[in-house]
Parts: sequence; C-alpha cells; structure tokens
Amino acid sequence: MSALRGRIADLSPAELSARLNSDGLALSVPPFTVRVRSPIPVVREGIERMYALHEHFGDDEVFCDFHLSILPRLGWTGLRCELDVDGQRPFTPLARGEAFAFFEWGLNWCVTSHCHHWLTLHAAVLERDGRAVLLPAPPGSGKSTLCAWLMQQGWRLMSDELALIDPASGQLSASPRPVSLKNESIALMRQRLPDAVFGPVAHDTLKGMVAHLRVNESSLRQAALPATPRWIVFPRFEKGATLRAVPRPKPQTLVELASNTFNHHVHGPRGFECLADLVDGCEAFDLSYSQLDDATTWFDSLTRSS
Amino acid sequence: MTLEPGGRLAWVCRRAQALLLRRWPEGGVVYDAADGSLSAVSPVAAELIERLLDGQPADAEALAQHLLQAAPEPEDIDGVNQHLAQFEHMGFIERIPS
Amino acid sequence: MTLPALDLLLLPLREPERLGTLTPGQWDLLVRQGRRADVLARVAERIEAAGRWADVPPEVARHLQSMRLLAQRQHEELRHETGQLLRVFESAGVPLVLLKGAAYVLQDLRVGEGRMVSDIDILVPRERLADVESALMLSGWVSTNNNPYDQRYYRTWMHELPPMRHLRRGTVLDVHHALVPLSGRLRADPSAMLADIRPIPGNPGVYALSPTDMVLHSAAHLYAEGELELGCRGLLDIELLVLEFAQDADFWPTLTQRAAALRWERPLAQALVYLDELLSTPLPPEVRDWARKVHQHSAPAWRGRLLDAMYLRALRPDHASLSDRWTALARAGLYVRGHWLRMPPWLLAGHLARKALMAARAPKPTEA
Repeated sequence: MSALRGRIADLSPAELSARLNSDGLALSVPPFTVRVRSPIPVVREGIERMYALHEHFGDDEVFCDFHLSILPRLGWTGLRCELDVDGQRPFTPLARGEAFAFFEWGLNWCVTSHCHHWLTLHAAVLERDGRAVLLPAPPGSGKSTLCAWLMQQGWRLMSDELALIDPASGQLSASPRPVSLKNESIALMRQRLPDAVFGPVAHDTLKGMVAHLRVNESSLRQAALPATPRWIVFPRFEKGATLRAVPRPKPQTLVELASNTFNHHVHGPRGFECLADLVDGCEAFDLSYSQLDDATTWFDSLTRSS
Repeated sequence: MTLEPGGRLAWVCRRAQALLLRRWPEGGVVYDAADGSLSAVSPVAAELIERLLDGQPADAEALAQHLLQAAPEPEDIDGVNQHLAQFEHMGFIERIPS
Repeated sequence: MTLPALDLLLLPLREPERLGTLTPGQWDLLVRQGRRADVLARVAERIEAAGRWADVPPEVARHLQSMRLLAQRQHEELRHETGQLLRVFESAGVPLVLLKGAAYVLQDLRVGEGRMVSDIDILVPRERLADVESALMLSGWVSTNNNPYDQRYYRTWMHELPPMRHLRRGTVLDVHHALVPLSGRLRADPSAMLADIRPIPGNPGVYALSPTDMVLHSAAHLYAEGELELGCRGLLDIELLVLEFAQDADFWPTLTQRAAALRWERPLAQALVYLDELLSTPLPPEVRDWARKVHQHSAPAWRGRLLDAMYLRALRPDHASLSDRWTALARAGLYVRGHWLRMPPWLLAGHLARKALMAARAPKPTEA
C-alpha cells in the first residue's frame, strides 16, 4: 500500500528539482495522484509554492491517474514548452514562461477527457455547512476572483474550474487546486490578501496575464468531503453596478448548465436527468456586482436563508 | 400532401423514446437523445409536448381544448398551430392527414 | 526479442482471477498501455463478466468504469444511428451492410464487448455509390473533405470515401466501396463478400459479412494498413473473432478455403502468425503450420524478416513502455509501406509530395 511521504513544503528545492527532473514527482492532488516531470524552473517554482501544502508519495510505486511532463522546446520565436500526457501531445507549444500554467491547464484537460464516471462541468464550486454553490461562468465573468475572495471569507473551495458530479447521487466531489487569476484580479487579490501565497506570473498568454493563488489549508484538509448542491449562481462583474441578484428560471438554467458540461455527450439521457435533478434541487440566480464586499454579503445571506 | 376540404391536419410524435421532458411551473426543457440537444420551452409548449409524448395523434383544436379545459377560440387554435409548427421544425413531431 | 511482452496488458483479458496479485506500479502501467491501445473498456467488460471488481483498487476502477461508460454510450448511439441509416438505405434500395466495430457490436459478438466504435463503417457496391451518397446527403450527411484532389484520391485509389458527418447529430460515417485500397496488390472487389452477407439477428434490414469474411477483412486491413496505432486492437479483434467462431468445427477449413478462393491467403497467414507470436493465441496445430508455411513463402527471406520485425513492433500499443529504439522507425516504415501497397511508386511519390505541399500551405491551428 503506497503511503504519503510528507508535504511538498518539506522537500528541499534540490530534492524537488531532482524528482521533477528524473522519474517525476508523484503528487497527491485529491482525489487524484499525478505524476509530473519537468526540467523547466518555473514549473518547479510553481509546484513549490502552489502545492506546498499538498502531499507526495516519495519513491513509492504508486498508481497515478495522470502522467504529465512539461518539456522545453526551441521554437522559431524563442523558448517554448510542450505538454506531454504520457506520450501524447494534445496542444501546440506555448511560451516557456507559461509552463506552470500549462501544467494546470493540462491537468484540467486530463480530468475532463478521462473522468467520465463523473459529470464534469465548467464551473467553480464553493461549500459552506455541507451545501454547495456552483458558479458556471464564461471567462471574464469574475468567477475566479469571486472564488479566491470567498475562499478566504470562510467558504470551502472545492474547485475553481471543474465541478465533479456523481451521476448516481448528485453529490459534488472536491478537487481543491490553485485558483487561476487573470490580469487586474491578480493585483486586486494581492492587495486584499497580503498573506496569501501567489504563484509565478505568466505574461502575454492568450488570456492576458495569468497567476495562481494557493488553496488554503482548510479547503485542502476537507478535500475528501462531498457536498450537496443548493445554489447555482451566474456571476457577472459589471464596473460601477450596484448588486443585483435576479432569480433565473429553471429551464434556462438547465440549458445553460448543459452547455457548460464537458462530457454531456457521454452521459446521454441519464446525464440530462442528473442535470435536471440538480437544477430541481437548487435555487438559481444571475448576479451582477462590482464590489466584492457586497457580493460576499450576498453569498453569506444565501446560507442563512435556506 | 393534400388536405381534403374540411380535413384537419393531425400531428403525432413517433420519437417519444428519444425525447425527455422536464417540467417546472415556469416552463420545460426537452432533451433529444438523437443529438444530445436541449431546448427550453414555455409552460404552454411544455404542456403540449407532454400531451404529444403519449404518441397519440392529435390536432390543434383538440390540443387547445385540452389546454383550456374549454372550447377554444380561433386565436387559441392559431397559437397552438404555431407551437406545433415549431415542434415539427425541431424534429419532435410529424404531420399526418387525419 | 528485446521488446517487453504484452503479458501485463493481456492479463485482465486472459486471467482475470490473477488481478489481485498486481502491484500499484503494474496497475499504473496496465492502464497507460490499455489507454494507448484503446482497450480499457474491453478490460472493464472482462472484469465485469468475471465478477472481479473487488480485486481492482478503486482509483483504478474509476478509469476503467469511465471508459466502459464511454463505450456503452457509443453503442447506444450506434444502435440509434443504425436505425436512421436504415431509412436512408431503404429509400435508396441498397442493403445496409455494416463492417468492423459497428458489425461486431450489433451482432453481440464477444469482440464487441467494450469495443470503442467512434465511426460507423458500411460497405456499398461500387455501382450504387452515387445513389447512396445522394440519399445520405438528402438526409443531412456531408463530406468532411472538400478538397477535389482528396476526393479523387479516395474514389480512385482508396477503398472508402472521405468520412461523412451528419450535420445535426455529428456522427461519422465511413462509406467503403471496396474491401481494401484499390491501388494495392490484394484483390479489392467486394462482390464475393457482398454475395455472402448475413442478416444481423434482431436488426431487420441490417447485414454483416459472414464470419469467415469478417476475419479475412480484418486481417486484410492489418496487412494493407500503414497506420497501426490501433494495430494491437485490430489483432485482438481477430483473436476474439476466431476464438468465438472456432466453436464451430467447420470454421478453420472454411476460413482457409475462403482465403484461397479470394486469393487472400497471405494476409490471413500473416495475421495468424502474429496472433501466435504476439498474443500466443491458441491455434490448432495444423492451422499454425499452414499459416507459417504461407507466411514464409510470401516474401524473400530478408524482406520477410524485416517486415516481421517492423510489424511486431508496430502492432504493440503505441506506448513508450512497449517500444524500443527501433519502434518509431518501424512505424514510419510501415506507414510508407502501407502507401506503397496502395499505390504504384510513381503515383506514390506524386501523392506524398502533393500532401506535403498542401500541409505546408494550410494555416496551423493555434490550440487543439
């Protein structure tokens, strides 16, 4: 039986480098085990900071769900990096500076491509008192900023990108990982959370500037706990807007949720029933906001009223 | 397809096994297993679809009657016809001369 | 042979009762190899049939169940799609003949359990091709390749049209108009096989090739195909087919006779030899001897040995753990050979040059 050998924070930079350069690091990213290899310094730096509280399996022979390598490449326009998923190269190379972000995106891709025992949705999930709120949202909605902030205001972060639903029970599983922030959010969160730990910044990505915020200890500690979905909130950041929360009709909510489901086609009719049951059991809102504090107050009020 | 003078256009759903309907007071969603598509529909439409999913042929007047639980006016039947045309376009139902 | 054996990957399929002995590292390798070979769903179905889930660690079971679900979903879609295709073919007055995975699944054969079926392969007589195409297009099917050069290539030299996709449902159809590429050395005319098609029980109007012809067709594709990423799966298909049909005492003599009648002995012999070498499939001694004799005589000794070496590498799942430093070369060699078998050399050079030129001109996608 493989045993966890301690936290990443307990490894010296040299040891961490050594593992990443050779057979790879067997990282426990609940509920997964990920084998990661990379000689690129920014990847080591990202893992060292962002996964400091996560644990690893040392040299033990362990079953790994995913095998990722981020490899250096020399391109026409400069230093690049490529993602290798156990011999497959699903994406074109990116700039070397994006290598840690590439690892995060790669891991998301692995979960959505291989894990069909769940229904996987593009949504953030936060939990309080056993009840969860789903935030499905297209990029630019402010979902991740909200997520990062609410996590530090007493909500448990289950995931900032992937909602994992058990089709049989309708329960949500957690996979707490670094929260990815973009552009202005990075500065905003640094200012509001002076004690939080941020990862390397990748510049000039397709999404602009990207950096990650480490998951807090309590969210990680509770990773094994499932949650019942109770609210679905479609956030929209609108500069200067006063907070407005409008209930969204269930039919429209269901259609929107389905379009945010990565593996909807795999689950067919049973997937539809699962999503319909989810919507049935939840209250859904469209939330426009510009002040984080107002939004926080509103989210807190949800848990009090139900 | 020719309609006999005085003949009524009837409709039938032959694909009930591939269609799933979930209803709420504010409307419904139809899932089509053939292509995995979801369509949000109004409460009236949801009521009509539920009726049609039993696979029995029906015409606009009978459906309007069922909806209203009373004799329908010409506008009511027109309204139902519009819905039926929409359902045909979405591939849920077919027309049959009755 | 310097290459590692396929024993680990074959274990759940051959001896599910030994699954409890696997270490975490072995499970890790097994899932990775199985994923590349596209047989994880098959493994899951075998474990289900053997009632051995208790021997599978939960973190591994998740992956197997995931692929099993995917395969089951594909089978549901296949059945539905077949119904839709039947209407099209009935309107065109052409029998609907399914090939490969689609045929295996619909006939409830052992080889269809957990078999991934992403496209539907159908066989159409050449003279009815135009009618079938029109009928398909009227029902919402479109070709995925509008390049006139490719269209001509597919019709003149290949055995199938460019894949067709249904506009609304998104399903993919491969319309075969010959058994193997027309420009190759194997006789491609489907008439003899079409004359012997069998109705698929429970699916009126839908047909498959006869048992011997299904085996021969699969073997011929292994022989003529250049891209063997899924070659291991193809070989496993043939093994499962012959083991199921061999329950009929007449099967082996009928198979070899049919191969002789169609002049397809070489591909059959090659497939059987590789089944023996790579998978240790239990073959009757006289069948093994026949296969070895024919295979040895099919090419000059040095070329035969080279081909064998290439195939035995390329037929393994495309995973680093099952390759050696010659594997990439073997795959490349067989890719060229596959094209060689399809086209005379003077045509091949022109074709490859044109493909390279078109690829260089085409805009590169920015993200997969």
